[in-house]
Amino acid sequence: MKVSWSSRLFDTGNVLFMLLLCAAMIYPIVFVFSASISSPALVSSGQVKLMPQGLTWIAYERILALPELWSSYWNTIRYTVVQTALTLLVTSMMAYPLAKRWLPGRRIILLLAAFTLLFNGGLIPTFLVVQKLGMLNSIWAIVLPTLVNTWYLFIMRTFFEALPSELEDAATIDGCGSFGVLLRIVIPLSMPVMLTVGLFTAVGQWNSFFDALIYLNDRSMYPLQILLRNIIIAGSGSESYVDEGGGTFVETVKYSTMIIATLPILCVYPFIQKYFVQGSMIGGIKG
Amino acid sequence: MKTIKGSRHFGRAALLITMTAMLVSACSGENGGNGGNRNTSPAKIEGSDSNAPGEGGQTDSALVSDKPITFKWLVPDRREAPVRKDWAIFDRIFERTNARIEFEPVPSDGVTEKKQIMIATNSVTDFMTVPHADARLYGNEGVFLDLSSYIDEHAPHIKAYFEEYPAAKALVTGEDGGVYSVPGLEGLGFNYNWIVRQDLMEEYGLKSPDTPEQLYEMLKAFKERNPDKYPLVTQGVGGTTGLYKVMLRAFTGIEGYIQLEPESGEYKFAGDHPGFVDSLEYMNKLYNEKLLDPEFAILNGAQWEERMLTGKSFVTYHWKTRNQLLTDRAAEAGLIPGYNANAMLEIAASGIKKYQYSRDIFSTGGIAISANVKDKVAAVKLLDYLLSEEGSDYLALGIDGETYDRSEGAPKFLESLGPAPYDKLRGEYGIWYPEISLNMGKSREAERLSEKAQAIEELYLPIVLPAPAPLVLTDEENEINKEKLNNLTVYIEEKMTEFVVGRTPITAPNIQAFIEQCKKLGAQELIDMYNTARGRTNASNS
Repeated sequence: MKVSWSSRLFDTGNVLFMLLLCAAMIYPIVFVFSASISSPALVSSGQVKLMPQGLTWIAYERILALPELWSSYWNTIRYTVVQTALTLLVTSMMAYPLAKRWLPGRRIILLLAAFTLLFNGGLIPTFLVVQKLGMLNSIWAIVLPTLVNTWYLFIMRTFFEALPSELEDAATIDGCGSFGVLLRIVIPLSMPVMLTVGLFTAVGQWNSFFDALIYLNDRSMYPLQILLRNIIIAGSGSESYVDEGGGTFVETVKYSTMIIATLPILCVYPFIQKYFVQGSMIGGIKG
Repeated sequence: MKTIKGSRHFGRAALLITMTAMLVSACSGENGGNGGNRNTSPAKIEGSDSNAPGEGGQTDSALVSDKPITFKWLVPDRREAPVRKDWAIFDRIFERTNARIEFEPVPSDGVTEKKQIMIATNSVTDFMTVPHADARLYGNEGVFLDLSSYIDEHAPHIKAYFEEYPAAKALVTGEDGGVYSVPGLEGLGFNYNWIVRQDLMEEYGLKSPDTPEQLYEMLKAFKERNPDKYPLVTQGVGGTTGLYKVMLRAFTGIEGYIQLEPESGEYKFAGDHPGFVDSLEYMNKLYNEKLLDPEFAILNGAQWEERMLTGKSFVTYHWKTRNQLLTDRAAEAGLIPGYNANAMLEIAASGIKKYQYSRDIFSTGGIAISANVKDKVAAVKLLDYLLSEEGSDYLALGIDGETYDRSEGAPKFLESLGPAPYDKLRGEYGIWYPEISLNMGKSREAERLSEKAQAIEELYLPIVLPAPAPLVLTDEENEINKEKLNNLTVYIEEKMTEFVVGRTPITAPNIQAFIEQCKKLGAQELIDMYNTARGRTNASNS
C-alpha cells in the first residue's frame, strides 16, 4: 500500500511528539532513581540532573535499616489484600440482587445508595461511629468504613444487568442456589469488572494515608504511606525544631523511600494494565 | 455437568481458605497492636547501680502512684530522630515515679489534624501538647483537666512555676478561671541572621554593611565580579526568614506587617510608617538592577539551598544554624573550595534602631492532661515531677555523666557527643524532644557552641530584645484573628511583591490604595485588638 507523503510527515510528527511526551513522563522516575543513588550533597546542590553522580548506597542503607519499613510494608499489603477481597465480595453481593428488576424495594435501595454519592456524614461523626464501635486502632477501622464504594456498586450492577438471564435460569434448573449462581456463574463471567474494581480499590488502599492517621494509634500498625510522608514531607510543626537538628538527615533518603514504596506497583502494573483499559470501557455496549 | 460438581467442592474450599486467610492476616495485626507494653514490671529496668541514691540528692519520694501506672503521650514523630520505646531517661523517670510513659508517635505532617480530631471527639491522649488558645477553649469545654484544683495539694512545682511566670498562667487560663495546660519554656535567644559568603567578602575586600545603602554597595560589588549571578536571595517573602520582614524592620523598625514597636510599646502597622515606601523602593531597586534573585518570592527550601550552595547567590537571611550547615554541605559537595558562610549583623536605615526580637519565652503550646485520664492525681503529680528540677533535667539534659555533666559549673552536653548533637540527643535518648520536654531553654543553654557559632551569638546578642509578651485573646478576638489575619497577610504579600517587581509602580496613589485596602481587610481592627489585649496583659501582670 502506498503511503502518501503527508501521511508520512504526520506519522513522523506524531511519533516525535509521543517520544517527547514519554521523555517528559519518564524523566521524573529516572531522576528519582538517580538521586537515590547519588551523593546527598551533590543532589542538594542541584548537580544531579539525569545521571547519578557520586554513587553511594547510603540512602538505601538508611531506609532499609528502619525496622518500621518492613512492618509498614506488611501492614500496607495486609490492609490492601483484606480490603480488596472484602470489597469485591460485599460489593458484588449487593450489586447482584440490585441487578434483578423484580427485587422489591430496589428503587429505594438504589436511591439511598445514590444519596451517599452526594452526602457524607463528615469526618467527626464518622470518627465517632468508628470509635463507639470499638474499631479504633485495628485493621477494621481502615477497611470497613470505606468498604462499599457507591461508584463501584453502580458499575457492577450495570455489568450484572447486562448478563443474559438465560444463563442463570439454566444454572437454577440444574439445582444451583442464589449464592451458587452468584459465585459460580456470574462472578467468573464478570472478571473484567471484578479486576477493575479490585485494582482501583487496591491502588486506593495502597495510597490511603488519612484514615490510618486518624484511626490508628500504634506505630506498629501504620501503613507505608505514613512512613513515606514522614520522611518526604518535612515536619510542618514549630519551625525552630525543624531547623535545630535534621543535620544528620540524608536528603536522598526521600528518593530511595519513593523507589522502595512504588517498586511493587511499578512491577505489577504492566501485567494488569490491559484489564484497566478493558475495565474503563465497562459502560459501553456489551455484545 | 462434571465441572459444576467438581467446582462446587473447589469453590467452597477456596472460599473457606480465602476467608480464613483474611481473618488470620487481619487478626495477626491486632495481636501485634494490642500486645503493647502496658504495665511492664520494674524488673525490666537495668543499670540501677548507676542510679545511686546520692544522685542529685533525691531522698524524698517522687512516686506518683503505689502501683506502676501507664500514661499515653502524643508526640509528633521526627524523621531524623524517630520516637523510641526504650529511651533511658524514661526508664529513670519510671524508677522514680512509677509512671510509665507510652508515646504515641504521629507523623509530623498530620499531627495538627489528628489533634483536632481527638479534641473534637474528646478522645485525647493522657498527655498532649496543645496550642494555648485550644487549651483555654477546649479546657473550658471539658476536654482537658482543670489543674487549678490539684495544684495546691499535689503540684508544688507547677505552683511555683506559675508564680514565677504569671504570664504563663494567663496564657492557659480559660474563661471559667480553670488552668488547663503548662506552657513550656523556650529561653531567651535569637534565631535568624544575615548569612554571607565570608570567603568572598575577604577576597573582594568588602566590609559588613551597617545600613541599607551599604548593603546595596556590597551587593553591587558582588555583582560586578559575578555579572551573571544574583547576589541576594531569600526563601520566599513571608514568614520569619522571608525578605519582607527583615526589610520592613530595617526601614520602619516594625518586625513584620503588624507587630509591636519596641520604642512605643504599641502594636503598629508597617504600612503606616514613612519608611514603608522607602523599603519598597529599595527592594524595587535591588530587583531592577538584578541584585535580587528574580524568583525570590517563590523559592522553596531546596531551591534556596541550591542557589546558596552552588554560588548562584552570596547573601541571604535565614536560621543561624544554616551558617554551619551550608558550609558543611558545600565542603561535602566539593564544588566551591574555601566556601565559608558566616553571619553579618542586621542593617537599619538611619533613624531606625537595629534589633531582632528574641524567640518567645514560652512555647506555642503547653502540656495538657486529658479530662478523662483514669488517675487524675497521679497524672498531675507526674506533670509536676517533669517540671521539677530533677524531672526537667532528665528531659532537657539527660543523664548526668552520660549525656551531660556539670564539670564547668553550668550543665553542658558532653563533648564526646560531637558538635550540634541535636539528632543524637533526640533520637537515641529522647532529650530536647519537642512536645515532650518542658524546658527547651535549658537544653539550649547546655549546648556547646563551636567558635563560629559562639562568635555569631556574641555578634547578635547586643541587639536582641525580649520578645513581645504573648497575647491572651478572648474567644471573640481569637475568631476575628483567625478570620482576618491570614487574608490580610496574603493580600499584603501579594501587593508588596507587585510593587517590588514593578508590576505596580510605587506611586503615592497606589500606596494610598494599598493602605486603604489593608484597613478594609481589618488591619486597624487587628491592631486595636492586639493593643487592647496587651493592655489587659500588662494590667494583670503589674
